[in-house]
Amino acid sequence: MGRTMSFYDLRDAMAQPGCPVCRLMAAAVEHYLDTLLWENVNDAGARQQIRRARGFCNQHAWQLVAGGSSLGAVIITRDVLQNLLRLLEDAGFQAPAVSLRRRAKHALEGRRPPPANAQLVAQLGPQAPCPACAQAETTEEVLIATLVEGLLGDDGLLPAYRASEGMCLKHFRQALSEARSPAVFEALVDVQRTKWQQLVEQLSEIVRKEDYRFRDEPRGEEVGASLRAIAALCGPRASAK
Amino acid sequence: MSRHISFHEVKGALALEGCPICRLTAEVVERYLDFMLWERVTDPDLRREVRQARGFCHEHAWALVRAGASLGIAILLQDVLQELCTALQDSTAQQTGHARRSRRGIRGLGGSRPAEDVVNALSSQLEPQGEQRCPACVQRQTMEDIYLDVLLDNLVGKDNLAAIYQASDGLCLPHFRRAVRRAHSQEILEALLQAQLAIWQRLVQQLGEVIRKNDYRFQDEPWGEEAGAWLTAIATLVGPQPRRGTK
Repeated sequence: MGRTMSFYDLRDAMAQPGCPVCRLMAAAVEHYLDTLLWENVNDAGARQQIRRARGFCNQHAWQLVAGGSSLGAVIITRDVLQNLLRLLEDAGFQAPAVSLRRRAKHALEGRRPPPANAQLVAQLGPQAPCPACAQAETTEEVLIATLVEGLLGDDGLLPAYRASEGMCLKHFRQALSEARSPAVFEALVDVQRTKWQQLVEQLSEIVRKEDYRFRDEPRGEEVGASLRAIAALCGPRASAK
Repeated sequence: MSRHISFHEVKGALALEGCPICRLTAEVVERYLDFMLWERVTDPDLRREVRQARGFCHEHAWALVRAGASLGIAILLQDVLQELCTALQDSTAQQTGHARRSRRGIRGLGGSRPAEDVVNALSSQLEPQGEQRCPACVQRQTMEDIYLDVLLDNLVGKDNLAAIYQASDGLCLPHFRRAVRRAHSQEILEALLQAQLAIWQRLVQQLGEVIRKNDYRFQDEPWGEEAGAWLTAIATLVGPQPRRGTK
């Protein structure tokens, strides 16, 4: 059976700590941001996309400058801010779209009236998703599909998956919704249950060894389980600045 | 005019770097997480909230990490993972039953696909339950609304904060959007827009200066207040970098 590049990327990532899908998505975003900064800052299409998204999301905006100051990041953020300034220059007050009666009722009940300035609020919001998130999402879809399709069969990913730390909760849910056969569904659930049970046991061991009666026992594989549990539930820590 | 303590908190935060609401709510969340880890780990209500939310959001889960917190984190997250394991066990039993019924021909279809109701039930069990959100996000949002209203209510009138606000780094874009939504009079919106416009114009000028000084003709000129503008601009658009927690 012919295998795609993603299959081998996944197999390699499964030998590393943490969720393999998260790891490969992070690598894809890193590559995208690098290319943007060094090759595409003056690309009209990329700039338009970033302007419409009102810049990047919090995580990817900080990742953009993780390597230090760059002229590219300054050019991009100035462009977004200039665009926002134009919106403010043309802005005017827009009362909440409710009747006078309802506004009086809100005032009598001491409640804040419904949102005002709806048009300006909408214009200031993203008109498109964060471009790095969009890139990550495309990679994510390909990886999940590859994992589910390549899990079973000769030379499938199952042994590597079984030996890995398993997927994070979000990607496990996505993989389940892509599972097209009971065998794949059962394999996914079986491996993930084993991983989570191991983690629960390690967390129990941390709790036990905090007891004064057992606190002198040497630490074993439970060291770091609190961090692995966080990563298992919500993905890896964002890359450092 | 008597002022509430939040007024003085907002005023104090305006004198410091960055979005004042981000700064104040980060402090609130930090106190909340500290209090939770050291005082409330065995509180049944909190444990239920955390279980139902399926833990914390990404930002606040990693913000839990601090010296000496591994026991608290282990207790809270063991609880969540145990509940998830139970959901997996239940779905395995249901799927086995479904496969057996399919083999016996009780259900003509579905032998080659996992039972849709089993997959759907498991997927929804793995998600946050009901309306429950990350408990730290709930806390943050409550305080954000309070601080934003204090800022807006004091942008006009006697001894207002407009001048201090205009001299500050201003609100970040996400908080500015929420402030615009909560500005319920023309006077307040105008004061807010005027100040924010001045702040962003200042920042755009500083960014222009950074770009100019990257030109080989001017690169030997000394750097002034524009030196940190590239970081201020990022924080203005998306808020500060989340606290990373400590090992």
